[in-house]
Amino acid sequence: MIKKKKKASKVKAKAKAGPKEKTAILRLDVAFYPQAALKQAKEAFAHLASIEIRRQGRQRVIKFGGMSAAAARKLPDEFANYALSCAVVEA
Amino acid sequence: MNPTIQAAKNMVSIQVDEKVFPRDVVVAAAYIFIDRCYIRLERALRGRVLARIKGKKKLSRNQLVNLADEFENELLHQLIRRQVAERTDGLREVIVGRALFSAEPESGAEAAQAEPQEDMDYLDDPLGIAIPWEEKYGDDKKEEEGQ
Repeated sequence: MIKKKKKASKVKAKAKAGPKEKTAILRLDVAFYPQAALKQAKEAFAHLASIEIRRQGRQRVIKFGGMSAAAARKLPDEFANYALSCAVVEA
Repeated sequence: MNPTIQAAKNMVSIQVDEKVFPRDVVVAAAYIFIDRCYIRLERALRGRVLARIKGKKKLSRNQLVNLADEFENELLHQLIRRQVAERTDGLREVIVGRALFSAEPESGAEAAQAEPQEDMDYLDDPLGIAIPWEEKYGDDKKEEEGQ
């Protein structure tokens, strides 16, 4: 009985979060990914997720939220590639 | 530069010595692979750069090894490009400078010819280009037909 209740609460929590509530964190080295490049990438991907960027030591931590499941699989990697290309073009 | 193959992650990691391949060379080499791989670059210990290359499509172990080899070749290619660019920097400046200098309009007769005549109007038609063919040659043709 308790197990069933636990299961039910888990399902409810999942339903509350919704299918679009995927999050991901990406860490990029500041030496290779300058702020301007990340800003450009953030603007380019803004329609796919909510993106937060903050600096943590020698890394920039990029937090993605509100992504669809399909986007969550590729978005951080695509973001990193885009930022790298921006860095190369800007350099 | 021993590549580490992680077949389960569809990824290969390569550590590059910055003393041999400067940072901009590594970035330029990584950029070449951006269309078929996901690339992450980061600083590693002892002046090295760690390049993580992940296939966009699922790759076999052999393909990952080939990918690592291609990346190493590309590093060399970019290094040579850089060296050649450094060596021919002065020459390029001379060529561009000369090209720009020769593109300037010369003073004197040529310059005067190139300038548009100020008393000309856009409605003027000294060569009679705007006159219809009938007006220009119509009478001749009629005369020819009459003969």
